[in-house]
Amino acid sequence: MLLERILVGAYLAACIGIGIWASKKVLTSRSEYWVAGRRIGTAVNSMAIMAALASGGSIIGVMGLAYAQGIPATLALFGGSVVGFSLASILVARPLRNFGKFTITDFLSFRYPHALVCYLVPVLIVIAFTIYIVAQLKAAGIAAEALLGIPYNTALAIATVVFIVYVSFGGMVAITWTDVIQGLLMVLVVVGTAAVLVWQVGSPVEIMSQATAVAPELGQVAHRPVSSYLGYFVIWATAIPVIPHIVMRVFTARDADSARMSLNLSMLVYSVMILAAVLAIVPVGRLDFPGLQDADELFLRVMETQFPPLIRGIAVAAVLAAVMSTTDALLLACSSAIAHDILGGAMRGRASERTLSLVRIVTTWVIGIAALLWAFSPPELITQFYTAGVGVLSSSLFVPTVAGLWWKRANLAGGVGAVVSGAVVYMVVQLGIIDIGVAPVVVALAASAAAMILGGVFGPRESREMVGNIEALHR
Amino acid sequence: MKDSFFPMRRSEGVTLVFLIAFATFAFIPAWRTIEVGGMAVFGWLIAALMLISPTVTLVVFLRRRRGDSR
Repeated sequence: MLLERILVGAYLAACIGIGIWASKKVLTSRSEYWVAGRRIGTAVNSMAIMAALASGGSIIGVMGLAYAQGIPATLALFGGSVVGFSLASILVARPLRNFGKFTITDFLSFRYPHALVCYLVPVLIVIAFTIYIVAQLKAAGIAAEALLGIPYNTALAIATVVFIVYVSFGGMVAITWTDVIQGLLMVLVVVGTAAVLVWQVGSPVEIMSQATAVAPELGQVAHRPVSSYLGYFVIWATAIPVIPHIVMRVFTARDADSARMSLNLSMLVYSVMILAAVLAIVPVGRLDFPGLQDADELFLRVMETQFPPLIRGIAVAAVLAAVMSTTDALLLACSSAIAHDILGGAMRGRASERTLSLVRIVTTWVIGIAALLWAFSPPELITQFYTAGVGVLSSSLFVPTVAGLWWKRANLAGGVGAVVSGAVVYMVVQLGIIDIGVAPVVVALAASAAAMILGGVFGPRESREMVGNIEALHR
Repeated sequence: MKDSFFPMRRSEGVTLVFLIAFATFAFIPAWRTIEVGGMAVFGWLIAALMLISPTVTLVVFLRRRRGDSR
């Protein structure tokens, strides 16, 4: 395992090196720290967006979920993300980029200026993203344990410290460049592995036929309630246009056209990678490993048996890359929710840039360590776990954001009602306090939309000034 | 009613409706039980949607940008 450990060590050292290099640029400016000075080009941003979304869930989790719950239901979840990017490109990319601030909370508190929005939105982001980060850390831990022989807890601690270092000191500049390397690495490993397996067996159709002949449940979905996989699809389709770590990438683009182009290109690459994983690697893994206790181990088992040490080392680096490329973006978004949205607002005008910089660094370390402590006792099936967390964000933010950008009658009463009712209804249904047999996100989005419409129709009309401001964002 | 919304380009509106219609079609319950090549048709439709969605959005965007630059 020496070769694999050297490769992974070199990769982690490179990440820290990029963080230290970036820190010289970013620590003195909010714009550099949060949105890389808004000058990221289309090609770089495309790969960075792809890497930010393609998490441990998209390599380890996607295969674990397909193995345990079948390919069609899994595709519903990841297909939702892809459609979500189209929605983001059409509905939010241009006006949000033209808005020109740092976070989704900046927009919502501008559109609906109320303390509930200013403080509740960042709190929801911190809750959802801490859950998301814990799931990613689990993926890093099991990858390092399975392929490097490093104990789970030690691997977690090493990976966490590395990404906290480069995120806290290097901000969005470090994240962007590490994400580009990480994105290339994971596409290469996943698509390359799928191509080798297809070449060995004959064709993707042959692989599917062989696997479903032995395990027909792999291709089936009829035994599952529609609400479960419809919920996956809707959560991700509505989360992507508003999810903070993707929205921050829209703000880093050099202009609105570049933001839209990046979203579309990133999704094409992402789709190819997910389809390669699910339609080639999962069926082969299902044939070779029929009774896995932890389905999330599937990809690592396939790599262990099919490839030599050098490729396995690159594979571990790719899994870590997937985890870190998402976790760093989540950590920055989470940190921005506290340091920029909550504390930044309270300290504005009274604290020096140096103090704010210190607040950003300390916040990043506190969130990272809290997630690490939780990840020592991880949940099962990471993709389901963090999808439930993301559901809170899509339920509470999608309607007020899209309505705020497109509906002239969207107003303060509707916006506040939409944020609060979406979050509350999602949590009540998701936690089983009320069981109504429909996917929680569907009910929550309906509640959020109802609140927005009631507020818009019966509440006071929005001011001409605000309508004019929003109209300007569409130009 | 139309005045209540900020205007959207026609091509983008059509893309939006097409994607929602395709997704709705994919979720029709009949596709859950019919299988092709060992997998439910629902799965194949979503796989197709994963390629169609970014491609269509990209093509519409590039056409609009070309039109704007003329």
